[in-house]
Amino acid sequence: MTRFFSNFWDLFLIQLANWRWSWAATLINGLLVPLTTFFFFKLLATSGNAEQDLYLLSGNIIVSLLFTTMYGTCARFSFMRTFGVLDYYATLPVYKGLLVLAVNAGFLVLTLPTALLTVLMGQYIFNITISLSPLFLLLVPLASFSLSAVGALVGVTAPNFDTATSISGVLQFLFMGLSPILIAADRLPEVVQWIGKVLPSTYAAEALRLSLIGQFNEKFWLDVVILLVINTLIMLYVGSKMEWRSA
Amino acid sequence: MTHTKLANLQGLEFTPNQTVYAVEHITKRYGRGKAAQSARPANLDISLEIKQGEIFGLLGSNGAGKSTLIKQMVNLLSPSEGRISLFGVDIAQKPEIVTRKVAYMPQKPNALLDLTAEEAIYFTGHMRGMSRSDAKKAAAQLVEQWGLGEVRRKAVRNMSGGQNRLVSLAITLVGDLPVMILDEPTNELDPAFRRQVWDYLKEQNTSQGTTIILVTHNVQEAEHVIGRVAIMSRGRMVGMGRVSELKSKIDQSVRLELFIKPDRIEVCESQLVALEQARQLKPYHWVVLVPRENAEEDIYKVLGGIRLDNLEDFRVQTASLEDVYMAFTGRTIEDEDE
Repeated sequence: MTRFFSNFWDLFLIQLANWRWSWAATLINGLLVPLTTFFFFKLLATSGNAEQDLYLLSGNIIVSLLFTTMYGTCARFSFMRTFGVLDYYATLPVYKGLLVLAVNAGFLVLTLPTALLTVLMGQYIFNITISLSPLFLLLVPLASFSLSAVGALVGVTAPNFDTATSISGVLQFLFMGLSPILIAADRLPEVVQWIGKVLPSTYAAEALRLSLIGQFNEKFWLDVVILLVINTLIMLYVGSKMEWRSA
Repeated sequence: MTHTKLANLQGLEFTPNQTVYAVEHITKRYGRGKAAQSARPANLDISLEIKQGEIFGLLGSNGAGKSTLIKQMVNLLSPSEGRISLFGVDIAQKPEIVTRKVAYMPQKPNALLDLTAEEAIYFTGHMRGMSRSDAKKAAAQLVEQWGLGEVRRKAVRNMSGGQNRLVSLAITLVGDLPVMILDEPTNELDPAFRRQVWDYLKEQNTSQGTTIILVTHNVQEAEHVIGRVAIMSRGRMVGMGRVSELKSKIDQSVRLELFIKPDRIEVCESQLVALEQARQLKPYHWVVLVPRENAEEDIYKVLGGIRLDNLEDFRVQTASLEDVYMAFTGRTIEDEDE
């Protein structure tokens, strides 16, 4: 178990070391999309409905935390495979799932400051209150890992970088459309609600939203348990099935 | 720590002459289904055995299938047919045997380019099982040993090609694994470092018993290090044995090297192409393998036919590993690369 954590820590530090030369640009880029969205909504389509504004704000944070890391992980794995970087890791005694976890964690460290700034600025723009509990920070990796693992699988399996990022874009669109992220679940068609029940993004988004509004109720903990189960299954699947050797 | 000790700690008993690698009838075809069947195999029916403590060379031109074979041996590429075992364990069944026992230096290392040399060596050492303090010490020592002290704070990406190669070598060496596979370890290095690399590998092999598998183009330099060699050409293994054995097979020949004056190339060429044992390495550089018996007379004839004043220089040598390659493949390595 010590070896497991120690390997994870090494892989995580390697990821951070990779980003140390470019983190500022990534932070600025990450802020552009949510803030532009906020301003447009504020100028053109203020709902006047505090609950809906809260959905929009939390939805934006969730999109940034879940899908930016999924896309980033997919792109990173595709890059690593294309340029032979994965060969280096494949010849070391490290568990494949740990590399996914480390890449995911690296992206979270990059996107978390953006998410926190989005919360602060969003509160100011929409004049609503959001609770930032330490539980939110603990929940973020749990919520984002399952989608990052999907991104890693796409990155390793797709024949090239462009195909990988295109597939990741389509999946992002599907996960976003079929899960109650920017719109409340009861406003989605019934069939979409049913599909959403099998997607990890549904539980990740719900748990993140509940934590942002400070509701750590039974529903929140159920989401956490479901995410734990999904993540464990995905970690096992990635460890046994993700093929980083060439065919 | 000797490798016998290290191996015992890692749960393996090494005995001299123990088979480290056994490659049995390996073939690699890229693609799937019918396309794979009709494609030219990257390697075909390769079998070899490498013993504990050997320095084994894989010799061949670009595209000969050497890199494909070693990628199969480190489990980065799965063979279409055949089986590879390491210390008697099938690597397809238990891939972890490779990651625990084999250090691999790829031809084009692309990992850890954004780290400094010391960081890259340290992380690799630690992930291979060294303690944090040992990995740190080893990283500092390897950086000094390979002349990387001046660039220790630079990202590997920003180093010169030669420095990058030395970082990759240091990454391979850290952790003292019992088997090392090095793909063109001296590419892009200057002559002094090339010599240092060969000397170090020889020393590591002698003092630690490390089994070393080398892929190289640099036949003349590697010849002094390699014990046994396999010659590959167009995906097939065309010869294998101890360097001295292979040389003795063609040792009935003496090598006459001719360096022709630039303005006399055409004149000499017409005479040299007529000689069965003559091979052109470069427009001005020819090699003629002359049978040992009557060598003096034949050399005199060749030189007399070409005339000494058409030559800038000439050399007479006994057979080299390069000649062995030429004898087995009918070409020089440079011919095949082109």
